[in-house]
Amino acid sequence: MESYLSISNLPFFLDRGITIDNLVEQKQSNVASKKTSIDCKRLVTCAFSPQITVTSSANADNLASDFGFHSFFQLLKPFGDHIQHKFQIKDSQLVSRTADDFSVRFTRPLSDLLSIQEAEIKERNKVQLFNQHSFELLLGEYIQAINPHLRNAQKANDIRLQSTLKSSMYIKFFTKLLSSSLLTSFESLNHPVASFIVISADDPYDEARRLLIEFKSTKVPDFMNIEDILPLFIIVYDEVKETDQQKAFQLKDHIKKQLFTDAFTLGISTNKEAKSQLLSPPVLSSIDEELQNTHLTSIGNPTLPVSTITSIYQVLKDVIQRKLIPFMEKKIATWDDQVITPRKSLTGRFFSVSKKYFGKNPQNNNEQSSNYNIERGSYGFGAVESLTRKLADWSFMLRDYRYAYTSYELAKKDFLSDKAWAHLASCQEMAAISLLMGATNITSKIKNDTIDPLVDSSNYTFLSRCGLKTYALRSILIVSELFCTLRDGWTSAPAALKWVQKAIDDKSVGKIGRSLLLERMSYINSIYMSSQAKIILSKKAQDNEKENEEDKDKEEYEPIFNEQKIVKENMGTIGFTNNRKAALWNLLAAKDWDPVSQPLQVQICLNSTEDTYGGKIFAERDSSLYQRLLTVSQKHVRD
Amino acid sequence: MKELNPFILHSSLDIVEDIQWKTSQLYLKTIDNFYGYYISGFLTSGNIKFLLIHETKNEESIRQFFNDLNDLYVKVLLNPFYKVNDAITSPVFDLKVKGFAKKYL
Repeated sequence: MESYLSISNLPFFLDRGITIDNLVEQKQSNVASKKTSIDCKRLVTCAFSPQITVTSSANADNLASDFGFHSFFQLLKPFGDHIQHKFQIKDSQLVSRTADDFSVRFTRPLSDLLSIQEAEIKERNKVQLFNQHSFELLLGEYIQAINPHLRNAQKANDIRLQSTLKSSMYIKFFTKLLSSSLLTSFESLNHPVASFIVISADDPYDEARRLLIEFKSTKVPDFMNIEDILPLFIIVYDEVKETDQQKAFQLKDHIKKQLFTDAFTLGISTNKEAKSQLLSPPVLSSIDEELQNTHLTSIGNPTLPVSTITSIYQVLKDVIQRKLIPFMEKKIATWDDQVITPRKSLTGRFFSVSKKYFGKNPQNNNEQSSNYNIERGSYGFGAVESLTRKLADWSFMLRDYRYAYTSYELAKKDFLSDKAWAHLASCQEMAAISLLMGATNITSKIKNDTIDPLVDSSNYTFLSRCGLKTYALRSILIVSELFCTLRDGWTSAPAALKWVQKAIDDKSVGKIGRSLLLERMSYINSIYMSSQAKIILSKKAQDNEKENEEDKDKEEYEPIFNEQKIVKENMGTIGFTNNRKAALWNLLAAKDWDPVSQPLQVQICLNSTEDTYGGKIFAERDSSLYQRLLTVSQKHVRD
Repeated sequence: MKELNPFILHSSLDIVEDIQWKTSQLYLKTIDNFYGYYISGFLTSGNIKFLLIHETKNEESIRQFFNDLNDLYVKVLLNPFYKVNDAITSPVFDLKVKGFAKKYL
């Protein structure tokens, strides 16, 4: 159950005394470790995964409530985060690849999503990914939850635990930034791919039929197509009752024959004596959901029998491998035939060019041929542009990043000529992300000629033309994290720095967010070192560790000491590291944390600068900022 | 802001150490900036770095300032009681540097 994703659930595990050894970074001597960035990359993969709505019948909800959940959706939610299995995925060239894991995002039923959103739009007039205020609230609560553990780690002098806890704060921030199930016309990533209809074996066939009809007749906005959502039945039965299973299979056959919809059976054991396991809270729940879960409807410690957990995973694996992925592949192939191939073919190009230049009335031509509805700011679901975008999104979900990139590029041109700004910005964002996701190393040419203009223009469009601050923030932070994951820190870190700096300067985050971003600047600077220096430093750290382990009574020989000579400790790495910059940003973060309200955070920030500032006269002067922050925070930690 | 100055200058050393191998000039020009502040650097022949944080860009006068400062620094080095890399405690030195600053900056 515990996966690498759950770093942001650390306080949950610690509060309940669950060991978290596999989440804590093992190697102490890891110089310039990029672990958190790699975690962020994984989070991006999971956050941009197929969205599945979960509708459940009253009987199914009753089953879930036996375990303390409010609905079946809540029960399923944590399972979507990380499903380990060798999934076979065919890419656009029909070459099969295996993915080691897959994620899906479970959301509320479509009609609920739409109505909640409508209310919010009415309230605020503009769709934003999240509400600044609730985001800050959530982060503040997280820090409060983590503080006692941090203090313990500090007391026990457990540096690894402390750094993991500390970095989990940014990961939490990043996760919440990514997880949103907001349905917008310009971001079809969040349009559901499938819909689970969960019914219980006790439900009559008519109930299933009613739910399916209800789903099919959901009133969706005209940028969505209900036909693009795959309905699937999940029939839940109680393993304890033997007749239930038979009933479930009968119902399954009936549904298949009559409704032409696939159904899966899921056995749940209500046996109270069975060995049960604690469910960790879902990682990718949106900010509002998480606040709700913690404040209004606390579930407490949700537990499920181990056998049920494995059977849920088994069913999910089945559904994804046998239905979801083939469905997406098929749709991608159809759309490819419909939209991409004609545009790429020679005749198609010739036709579009001739239409452009030899049209009868060039002035009107553009407006007539455009599928863009300016008033609503959206395309119809059948429009070529939205299909291209959706095709790109779905291939992104199936991790075919190169194909996704080329499709995004195609869609981008259309959006630009239609002046569909929000669509354009989101498309550019995704193009840049898909380029970075697919690469392990990026030449400076691609970076300067392709990625930078894409992100620049997307950021500008989001901010100035659409006023979508949150989207702008999300896009640049994802891009900067992805830059960090690239192999060569020396060439990619400046780009990452640039974007985080932009996020800070734009003032699009709250107070805590700002401090976290300042800390992030420091982190990026700390990985900003050339690979040579990295090798030298990690070797040094290893040697140090060895020396500590070995006996210390080895006689230390003293070299002849020339007092006139300046001692240089780091000859090999001069000019190849940016540790002093990192220290500066940590200091700035410490200043931003405010030593009175968050003394612990300040102290941790300052402690990490100790290697750089320790023994420096200018820093240890009584009146210096460093010293003052240190004394104030120490005083308040004690209080 | 003033309290941050020494830290900003200290952090620019990273950049000085990177670019000092890439140019044959002693005057490194503006090497870094931080929220509207510029940092100029100068490398003495003994690999001692002069750093200046300033708000307006004026390369030529900063170059002259650094050159004069270098002359002054060499005179300090000539002092048999001064050890390389120690703090310079001479009040006359301080006064003269202030004089240069008035003259050029």
